[in-house]
Parts: sequence; C-alpha cells; structure tokens
Amino acid sequence: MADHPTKDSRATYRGETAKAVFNLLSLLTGTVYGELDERLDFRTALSRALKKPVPEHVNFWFCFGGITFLIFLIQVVTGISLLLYYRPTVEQAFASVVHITNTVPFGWLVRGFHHWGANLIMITVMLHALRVFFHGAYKAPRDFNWVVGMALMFSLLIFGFSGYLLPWNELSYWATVVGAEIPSAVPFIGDQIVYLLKGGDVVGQLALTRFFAIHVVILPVCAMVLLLLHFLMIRRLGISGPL
Amino acid sequence: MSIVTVGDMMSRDPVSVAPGCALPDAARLMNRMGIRSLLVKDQDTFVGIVTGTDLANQIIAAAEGDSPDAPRTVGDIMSSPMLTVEQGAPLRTASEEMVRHHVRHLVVTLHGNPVGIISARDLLDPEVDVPGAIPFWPNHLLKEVVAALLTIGVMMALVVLSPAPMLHEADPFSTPNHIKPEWYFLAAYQFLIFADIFRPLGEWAPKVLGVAIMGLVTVIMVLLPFLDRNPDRTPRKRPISMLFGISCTLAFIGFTLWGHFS
Repeated sequence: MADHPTKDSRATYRGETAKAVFNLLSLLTGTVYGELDERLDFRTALSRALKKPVPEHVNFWFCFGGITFLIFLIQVVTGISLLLYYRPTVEQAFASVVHITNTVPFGWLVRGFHHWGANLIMITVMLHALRVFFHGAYKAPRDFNWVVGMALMFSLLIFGFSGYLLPWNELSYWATVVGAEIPSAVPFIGDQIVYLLKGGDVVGQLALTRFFAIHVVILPVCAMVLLLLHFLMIRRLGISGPL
Repeated sequence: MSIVTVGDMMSRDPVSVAPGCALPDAARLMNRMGIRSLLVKDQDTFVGIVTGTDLANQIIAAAEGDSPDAPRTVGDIMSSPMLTVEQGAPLRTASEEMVRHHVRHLVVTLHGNPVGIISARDLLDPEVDVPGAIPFWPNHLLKEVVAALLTIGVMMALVVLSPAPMLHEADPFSTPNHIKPEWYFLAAYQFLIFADIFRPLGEWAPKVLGVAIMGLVTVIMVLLPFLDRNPDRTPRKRPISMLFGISCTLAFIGFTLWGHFS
C-alpha cells in the first residue's frame, strides 16, 4: 500500500467529492422532500444504490442495452410529439407527414429523430443481444430474462413494420402489401392472420387504422410491461460475472 | 483483469462457540465483537452457524409460548449444516448463494475448512475498495452519460446530414419497380426468395419451407437457454452454441447484403 500513496489519496478525494455532491443534493431536495423522506426513507435506498460498485469487467460492450433503452425513450418522446400532428387516414396521412416535415416548427427534427431512432435501435438491440450471447449471460439464472429480451426484440421488429406504413408513401404502402402476405405461410390459420392484420382483402383504411393502433397503443403497452420485467430481473440477478 | 473473490471481502478468523453456549452469552459475544454470526464448533469440527436472526426468532418463540423444553443453548437453534462458499469463488457466487437460500451469512471455506465468514453487509459495504471495481456514482454514471451524449450526437448528425426521406404518396394503382422492405427485414425477405431452390419439391415448397426454416431458427433463438444446457460461459468451451450463433450472425449479414445488392 505504501508504494501507491497517490492512488490512495486520489481514491479518498474521489470519495470526498462524491459525498459532498451527494450532501448538496440532499440539502437542496431535502428542503422540499425532507418531510416525505421521514415517511418513505428513499434517501437511504438512493445512497445505497448510488454507492454500489460496478465490477471491472463491465466494459463498453455492456452499454448497448442502456443505449437501446435511451433510444426507446427518444422514440416515445418523438412519437408522442408526432402524434400531435399526424392524421391516420388514407386521405390525410401523407399530407400530415409533409406538413410535419415542412411547416411544423422543428417537425423535421422530431421526425428525423424518430426515423433514425427506429433504424439505430435495431442495430443497438442486435449488438446487445450478441454481447449477451457471446458472454453466455443468457444461461441460468438469467434464462428467463433472455426470453423476455427476445420478446422485446420481436416487439421492436413489429414496431418497425407497423410504423413503416404510417407515412402512407409509395414505398411504405407496397412494402406492407408484400410483407403482410408473409404470415399466410403459417399452417392452417395463415390466411386468417393476414385478414386480421389488414382488416380486409387489400391494404386500405382499415389496415392503416390497425397498424396505427398497434404502433401507438398496443405495442407500447406490451413493450413497457416487458421492459419492466427485463429491468426487475436485471436488478434482482445483477450483471453477469466476468468470463 | 482481476476478479473480486469471496476471500477479498470476507471477515477472517471466524469467532466460534461450543454448542453448549447459553443464548445470552452468544448474544453478548456478538455485541462485543461487533458481528452478527458465530460458528458453532463441537470439539474440533464445525457443526453449524448461529446468527442474530436466529436469536431474534428465539426471543419471539419464547414470548409466544413458554414451553419447558425451550431452547437454551446455541446448539438448539443453530443452522446445520452450514451453507458454504469457497474462498477463491467470485464475489458474485456469494451473493447468488445468499439470494437463493434467503440467508445473509455464508461460511467461507478453503479446501473445505472454514476460514472466514462473508455477510450480506460485506457485499454492500461501499467503503471497501473492491479491486478494479468503480463506484456507480459518479464514476460509472459519467461513462453512461458520455455514451448517452454520443448516441444523441450521432442521431443529430444523421438527422441533419441525411433527413428522413420524403417519397411520393402511396398509389394503390401503380406499383413501383423495386420494392424492398426496411433493411432489418431484408435478410428474411432475401431468404424467402432464396427458398425458391425448394421448388422441385412442389409448388407449395418454397414459401412453406422458407417460413418453416426461419420459424425454427427463431424458436431455437428464443429457447436458447433451455436448449443449451452447457453451464460453461467461456466461448471456447461451448463450440456448438458458438457455431450456431456465428452462423446465424453471418447468415443475417450475408442475406442482408445479398438483398441490398440484388
């Protein structure tokens, strides 16, 4: 220990700074929150959580799950913003997207973020899944969390597929016409799934309404339940150990 | 890369008492030593462990019914056999064992002989400098914030340099020439085209077999932890799952590129 005086003093300094910042935050929030904290005692829980050491083997490969969640949050915020101007009808969908892009203040920015977020989240979620796979972190006791993660990945794919139709442009329309036929290969009930999805024989208003409902209500609710499960299990089981 | 082991965090030289030790004496000993668990040693063998929780439970039991054969000694209330963890095991093992058995103390052994105690508190103690580990706040959080800002920066650059495309409005009466799905569906799309090689088997074959093979791979992916029962996590020691994973990844990239350039 005597060989490394600088390392030790740096560690002490680091601890002192963290403590000072924490005390300041407690003071600032305590003025308002103090009364509540006497009943709820979140402060102790928070300080415990904040001081938890992060193991050395956690390198940048471990950040893709968090980045995926960050992009998911960006998609929620930009998606709700787009919802304020988007009109899900065959006559008006395309015009409303043009209006958002060209007229609404920062509409191009919000739509751009939603567009790129949809693409980037696929990359980050795949990198996250590959990291978990190559580290063998999907094995028991984290086996059920892998299944939940897979369900989340499929919900992202359906997010992408359903959201692609909403701008009602030529590419999104025809990609949906082709893509919506794929479930027909499912044995016995394939044709029924396709009919349920499109709401008829052609991709029209009913299909747009259904894809809109899937994209903005059904999937977000499912994804949030799955995310909650995913995070609760991570919290309970911790980060997988080093290889 | 150093791994934090149970031995790094345990309390050495566990205090032990004889099974005949009276309960108040055990409690006094715990208070004097500032510990919450004692090993129970009969002659030269360790036979069990008694913790503060055991003593508290005993007080409750005594208050609820005063039976004449109420436990009076450590030997009556100890947990036996002891739950143990090897000294060289990763710290993680200790916490996983504690969670699994709902206990807060484990006996640390070296070649089977008790050499220390690790408590849940040893795992939490923020003051202990875990070798190589960094505190979540502020060190790790700083890295997370940097990663988050980089992500937002990359997105901002993409949005400005390559805005979301504005194509023509959909027209159900005119089909454009080249319809391709989004890139993340390209691999599946191209695979269904590739499945045309099954046509010699019959008119039905390409579509049904194409979807069936993709469905099978999907099911294997979802149920991977239940199919791959090999407990080893090192990539070199699980060749079959590695082969499956790498070939799936390469197939995905390959079919995506093929779909993109065809």
